[in-house]
Amino acid sequence: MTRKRLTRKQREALYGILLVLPSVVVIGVTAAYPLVKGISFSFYKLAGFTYEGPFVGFANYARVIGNSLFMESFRNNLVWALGTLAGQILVGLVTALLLNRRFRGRSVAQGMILFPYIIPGIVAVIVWRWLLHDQYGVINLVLKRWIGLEESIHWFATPNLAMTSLILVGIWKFFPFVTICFLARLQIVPPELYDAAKVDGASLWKEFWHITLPQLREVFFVVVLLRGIFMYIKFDIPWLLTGGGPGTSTYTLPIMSYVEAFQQMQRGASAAIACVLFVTLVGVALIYFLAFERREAVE
Amino acid sequence: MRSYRTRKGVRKTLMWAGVVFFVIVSIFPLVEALLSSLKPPSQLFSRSSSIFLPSSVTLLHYRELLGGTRFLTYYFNTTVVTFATLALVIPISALAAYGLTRFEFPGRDLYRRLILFTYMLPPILLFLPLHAVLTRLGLVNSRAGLIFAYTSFCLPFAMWLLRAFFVGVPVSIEEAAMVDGATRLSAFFRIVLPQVVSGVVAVSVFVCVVCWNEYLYALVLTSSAEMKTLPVGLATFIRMYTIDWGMVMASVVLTSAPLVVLYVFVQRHLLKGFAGAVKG
Repeated sequence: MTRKRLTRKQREALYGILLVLPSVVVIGVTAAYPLVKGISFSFYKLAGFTYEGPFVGFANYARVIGNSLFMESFRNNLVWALGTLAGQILVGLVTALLLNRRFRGRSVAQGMILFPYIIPGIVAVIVWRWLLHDQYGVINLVLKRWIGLEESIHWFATPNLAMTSLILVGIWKFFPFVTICFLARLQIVPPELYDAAKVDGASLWKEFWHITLPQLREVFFVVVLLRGIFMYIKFDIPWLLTGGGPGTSTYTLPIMSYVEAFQQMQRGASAAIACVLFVTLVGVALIYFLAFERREAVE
Repeated sequence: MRSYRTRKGVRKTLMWAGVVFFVIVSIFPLVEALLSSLKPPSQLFSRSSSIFLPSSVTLLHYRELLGGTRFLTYYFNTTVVTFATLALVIPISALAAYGLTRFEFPGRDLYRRLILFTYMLPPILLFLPLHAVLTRLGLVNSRAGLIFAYTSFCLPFAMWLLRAFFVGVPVSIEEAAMVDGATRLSAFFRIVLPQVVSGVVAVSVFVCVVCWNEYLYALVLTSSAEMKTLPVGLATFIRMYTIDWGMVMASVVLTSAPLVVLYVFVQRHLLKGFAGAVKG
């Protein structure tokens, strides 16, 4: 009896499956299974330290959404996400345009502008808490000594100011990602496009509006989506910088989810908050995706 | 003509001013941390002396940090967890990225999309179930538990980035090698892998940076001081009632130093990696 030989196509498929198999197993165990678990937790009443309790349907969701803190956290979450997103897109665009010009020391400047992005969130939080310290912070010292400000500004302790300070630190921490994405795209814009504009004597602004910006379109789409998602679910910077305070002025949904799970010991409720975050996120991302595709189709 | 020239001069000056401004904004906080870590305590907390430069240099804060806290334990834990995750993630993701880009098999496109989806999964959705799973396995409050948790996001992340690099290697090179009698596997190791070294370096650095910096999982999954990582350990320093700012600044400097050094060495690779990630 001769052994049946696989066709070339079948052999290829087998190779491919064998190569991805380890990753399927590992992702299944470390991510997919916990994901399913996490969603199911939101339908159980888990109180205390265990992960066992009775099935309660949507009761956790009803309780969580009925909590007035939830709506406030949701609003803060949007302010934080949109504020940092707009800021980092703007700063990222300006810095990418600056770094796209040829000058001596460009790669050094490029390297240094990336620093905020590679350091840990906790380091960003510590250095900014120090810089903005009421009594000893350099920024208050400079404002007082050089500009003649009389009272220190309490950046993180003033309810109306805390969110703004938080957003500024968020922009500082994350803009370099946007810079690099835009810069990578700018560097492959065909130079011929600009030659024509130069002949026509177009102003720098017109050049930017009619040539550069349309070229950045696709990257812009991806970057806004990615950064929006990452900012919306960010936990460490708000938690470590203001802890949600003063009062609840910077309380966000990730903070609420963490506190419910590990301080209030309401793990079902915590899972429900995380699921709401996720569902709203996917919903907005889908709308954004469809809107962009439709605009593409119209043009 | 003259006005054109002055306008160009103004533009150039403005551009330089912009570059200098953003460079200072980016690095000043870290420079200030370094300077503060070297200042004697008397200068840190007085308003009369110079604002920026240390009046004299002291290593007092570093001695205090290394001798009086668990900082070295945190450092050790972070290092172990980072490199173990890297060692686990890179081989698996390289094989998978190769499989995804070179072979046709049923479900390939679906799997590719699922990878992106997994990579985008918010940690805030996974911290609780990971805690549950690791509690069940008896791995809560251990370095192994952290490696497990970090793999959950590093693996899809590395696969997604590496895929972009493998796509860039022309299949023809590989086919030529196989015509010459090389097997598929030796073609992979001898022909394809050397072509994507730059990508592997970039992805390795990314994985190291994310693991080194990770906070939420480490916060939730560790409870004793012996198992804490740098971000969680540093966070305890600023939770104290009176914060020893000089010592905290020393910890900031030592925590960031390896990242800055690593980054300076591989900057070129990184920028290519970023470009690849965006295109992918």
